[in-house]
Amino acid sequence: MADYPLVFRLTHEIRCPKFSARVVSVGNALMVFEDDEWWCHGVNPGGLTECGEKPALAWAGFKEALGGIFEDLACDSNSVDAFRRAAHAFVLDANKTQAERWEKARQAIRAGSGTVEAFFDALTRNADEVKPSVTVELLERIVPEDSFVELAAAA
Amino acid sequence: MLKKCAPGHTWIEKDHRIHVVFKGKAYRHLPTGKKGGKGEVKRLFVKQLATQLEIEECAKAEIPALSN
Repeated sequence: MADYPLVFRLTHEIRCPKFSARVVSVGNALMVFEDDEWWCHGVNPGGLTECGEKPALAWAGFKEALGGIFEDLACDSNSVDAFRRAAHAFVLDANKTQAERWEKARQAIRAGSGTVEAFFDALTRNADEVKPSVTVELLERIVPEDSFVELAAAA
Repeated sequence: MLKKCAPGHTWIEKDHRIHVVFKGKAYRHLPTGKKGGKGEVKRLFVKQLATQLEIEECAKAEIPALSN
């Protein structure tokens, strides 16, 4: 079965104790059928993969996992700027092995060789060079609750 | 495998996944193994981790199933 090169732009809204943010990531992934399942291997970012019985399920898992990773990174960051740097580093951290497969798969799609599975045939063909990127928009800075408990004492 | 192929790596357990960082490369979606109930992780998660951390040859030597 063929390998399928994907390019994507995804929006995730993440929330952690210090802030909430909208994350728009642009990257690429490689969808393949291996070990009797569909796998969506990250290329940029290369630091994740997900699987499912059908391409749609593998893709849904990939999207959910990516959002979860952004949330992990946000919750580990002391500021929105620190999160922005972490998210940027993550998305630009390419998987070289999958990048080579992705490029070969793209050439095969361009050449029109082989049949294309229905899920992928329904996708818009994108012949542009897609540069991986991330934008992080702060939605809300969350301040600690202004409540307290103290022991009252006479003045 | 990681002890041999990625000495000094960082292993960070989160609620739903494990982050592994080695020499500036990061794999951030290693399942905890809790979901399946048997503590097992599918082969291709490990293979993606190995390629991402650029330790594929060593990993294949340690886990021959990654060679397929």
